[in-house]
This record gives sequence, structure tokens and C-alpha cells, in this order.
Amino acid sequence: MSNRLIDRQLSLLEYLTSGAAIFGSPCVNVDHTCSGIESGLLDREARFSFDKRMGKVRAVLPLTVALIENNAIAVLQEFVEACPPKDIGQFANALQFSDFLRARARRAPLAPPYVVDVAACELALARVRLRVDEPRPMAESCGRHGAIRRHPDAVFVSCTYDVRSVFEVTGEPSPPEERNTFVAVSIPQGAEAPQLFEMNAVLFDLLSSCHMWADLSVFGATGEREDLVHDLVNSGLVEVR
Amino acid sequence: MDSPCCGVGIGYRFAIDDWTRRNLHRFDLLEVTVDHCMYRGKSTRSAIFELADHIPLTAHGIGLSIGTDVPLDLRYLDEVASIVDQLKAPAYSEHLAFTRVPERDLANLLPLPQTEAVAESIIAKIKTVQSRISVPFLLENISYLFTWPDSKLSDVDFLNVICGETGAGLLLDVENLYLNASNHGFNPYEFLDALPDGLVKEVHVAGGETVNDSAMGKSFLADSHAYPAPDAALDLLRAVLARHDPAAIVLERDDRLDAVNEILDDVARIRAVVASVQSGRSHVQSVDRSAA
Repeated sequence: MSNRLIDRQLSLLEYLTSGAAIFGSPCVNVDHTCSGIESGLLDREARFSFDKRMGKVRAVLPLTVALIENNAIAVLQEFVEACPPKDIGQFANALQFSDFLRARARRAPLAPPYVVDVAACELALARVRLRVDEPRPMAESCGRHGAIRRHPDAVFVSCTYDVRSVFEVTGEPSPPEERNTFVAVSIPQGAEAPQLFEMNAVLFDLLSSCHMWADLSVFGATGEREDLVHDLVNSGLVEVR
Repeated sequence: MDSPCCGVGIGYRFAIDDWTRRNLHRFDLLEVTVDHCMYRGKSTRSAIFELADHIPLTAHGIGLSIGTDVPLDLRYLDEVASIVDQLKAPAYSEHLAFTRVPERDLANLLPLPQTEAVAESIIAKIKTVQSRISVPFLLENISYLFTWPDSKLSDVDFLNVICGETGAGLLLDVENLYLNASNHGFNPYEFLDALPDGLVKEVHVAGGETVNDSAMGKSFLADSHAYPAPDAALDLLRAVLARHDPAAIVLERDDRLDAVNEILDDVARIRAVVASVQSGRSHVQSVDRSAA
């Protein structure tokens, strides 16, 4: 047994972030370097730390965490074993949880099946909220149309369920329909909070890849594109100059 | 910033930014967590830095993990230095604790083995911090659930050795002292008596809660920063002020932030303690003058 402090600290954190300490899961070795410390206190510390971590995840992904509540213990136990905490921040922990859910859903069905899409949209909403904190040069007004690009703050998410109803704040949400849905998240002009927009597949593909300034003609003939570009600018999805 | 004598304020929290800005006149200062400046976007950072034009700010950290037995993260430290400068903070404080090891960040403060060898390691690191940060460095006592079996020094002896060798001041968290004394059965006033006069440069006050842990079959006090400060913590504050002149007394609140009236009530209770101690001092001074 190493007596170096760093080795003892590594062992301690390995234990405090383990399912054994947090959930009392069996079959996990308790490292002997933790011996001498009352295990009940360590387990309490582990649960307290995990609750704090999930509080950060919940702050960014409240709907996702609420949706998995029925089978939360099983999912959270897998999360703990697969993804040790690596960052102090809310967004980083939420991203880690969202990535875990996506990977987990590829291996075995998750309930409800649309929870991965909800997590992706919640993460996109948080990403937009964070990005708009970064000051960017203002785009020139629509009056000088000539080039267009996706708004750097907009986030595009491809979903297998139409989960927008989950985000409706009024009324009983209807169950999401299983259909490929292309969602853009942005802050519309004059709004304070980000919003979800459904887009058609062609426009989604076009904007998703339109990072660089492109000629406005990519949006079709002059007549129909005026209204479209105007709507996209108002929705905070593109910039024009 | 002009260092206020016993200035009373709160820890700045982004979730109540609007409320805080509307109520700046109620506080002498705000404490800004430097790590929050790192994780938010630039405009939020700018907004926090802009507060420095309206109210004195002091700088506090949660991410240094000075107790991890690896070299300090100098890039992190340099970022802290830049933020401290922009906050125009008169001091920078961190916890005597560790929170992470390579590849794992518990983001929760853990105690250190309280030995001479660990103290020496911390002393060397504090000297590095002091060489890179332009303002005085303060160490904060943490609350802890467990202790290391090889600890030889008491909490206060461990702090005194480190602060004595480095000249670092103490950010005394009276709530942590109260919790530790309750949970681990020692006399918090003996802790205070063992501190050199004037060592306490800032104070934290907060309110925790009693947790009944069925798995452990007992209850303990937890440092949740969610409830009004207990009277016992304010009694400790009163004892601190009798022998120390902290520049800042900061109320920490991290949960139930919508209960803003509780925050204001706690600030008023802290101010009442400060006023009563200062009035006691004035009384003693006038008696001294009369006697002379």
C-alpha cells in the first residue's frame, strides 16, 4: 500500500465517486488506503457530493432528469460507474450526462425513448444561453442583402421524436410523436430566452453547414427568399450582410 | 477598494443578479467567486467586473484544490490573478482542502491529513500563490464529515502553523466552525482562543441544516448554505470580533435563493452583532479615557 498522499487521495476519490459508496452497490473493492476512516462517513460524503453533482445536471437538464425519474436509480448507477466527475461546472456535468444517455440508448432501450432528444434540446438551450454571453460583432441590417450565414449563436439538433410538446409550459404535454424532427435553437430578435424552432430537412441541412458567409442566392429565387431570410433573421437563426 | 472595517455583504450569485443589483445599497461589499467568472460568458464576466465601479468586491475561490498532492495549476492561478485584478479585490481567499485529483473532480471540499509534512507542502504552495497574486491570500477553514486517521495536529494548530509560516490571513467560516464543533465534539471557543490576535481577515456566515442519515443511524449538521444562520454561529462571530478586525463579513447563500427576505434578515442580524461589539468597544474606550 502506497503511503504517498496523492495515492491516498486518488484512492479516496475513486471510492467517493463509486457506486459502492453512493448507492451501496456490491462487488466494488474498497481500497485499503481508505481504511481507518469510518466508511459510513465516507458513504455520506459520497452521497452528498453526488447529490451536488446531480443538482448541477438538473439545473441544465431539468426535464431530462424528471423524465428518467422512474428508472433513475438504475440509470444513475450506470452513469456513476461510466462517467466519473471531471469538472466543477454545471454545463460540463450536464454535457457528460447527456453524452452518457446517448451512448446508453445505443446499447439498450431507455425509457422514455425520447429522453435523449429532450436532453439534446435542453443542452442546446443551455448552449445558446451561454453563447449569447459572448459579445460578437453585430451583423449588418437586412437592408444590404448580399451574403448570409447561420447565426453563430444558433444550435441545430436532429431528433428522432418531435419533443417540442415536452417544452410547452402550459397545459398537459402530449406524448412526443416518433418522427424525424429538425430543431433549431436560437434567441429571436427582441426575445430574452432561447426558443425551439422546427425546420424542414432541406433548410436544416443548408443552415447546419452554412458557417461561412455565402451568397444569398443559395436561398433560391429573389421573390421567395426575401420573406424566408426575413423570418430567419427575426428568429435569430441567420445573419446577413 | 477602500477596506471597510467589518463591512457586511453577501456572496454574489448569478441567479439573483437582478435582485442583488437593486439592493446594492443594503450591502457594504460583495464577494465574487472567481471560478464563476471563469465559467460564464464574457458579457456576464464584464457585468460582474462592472460591479467593481459600484461596490467593493472581494475575491473567493473554490477551484484551486491547494491540498491535492500535485503541483499547483499555474494556468488556473494566473487566470485567478487576472480576475482578482479586474475585481479590484483587496484579498483572494481559498479553502484549506482538496477537491480533485487528476481525472476526477469531486467539486466538494475534503479535509487533509493534518500533519507537519502536509502543512509544509501547503506552505510551499501558498508561497507560490502569493508570488502570483497581487493581493493578500487568505485561507478558509472547511466543514468536514471525516478526518484522516494519521492527523496529528488539531484544526486550529494546523491553520496556525500554515498561516504563521506564510503570513496568510484566515477567512474564518463561523458556520463551518460551529458545524465541526457539533459534529466532532470539540469546543469552538477553544479554537477561537488559540488563534493569534488579528489573524482573521474575513468571515463567512451561513446556515446549514440537520440531516438524519438513516444509513448511519445518526443525525449531523450539514453545511448547505440554504437556511438562516444559526444563533450559535452569530455568537461565534461576536467572539471573533472581540479579538479580530475582519475587513469583510460575508453571508453565503447557495440554495433557496428566492427566500431573499431571509438573506436580508441575516444581513441585519450580522450588522446587529457588529454594532453591539463596536458599541461595547466604544464603551470600554470611554471608560478607559475616564480612568486615565
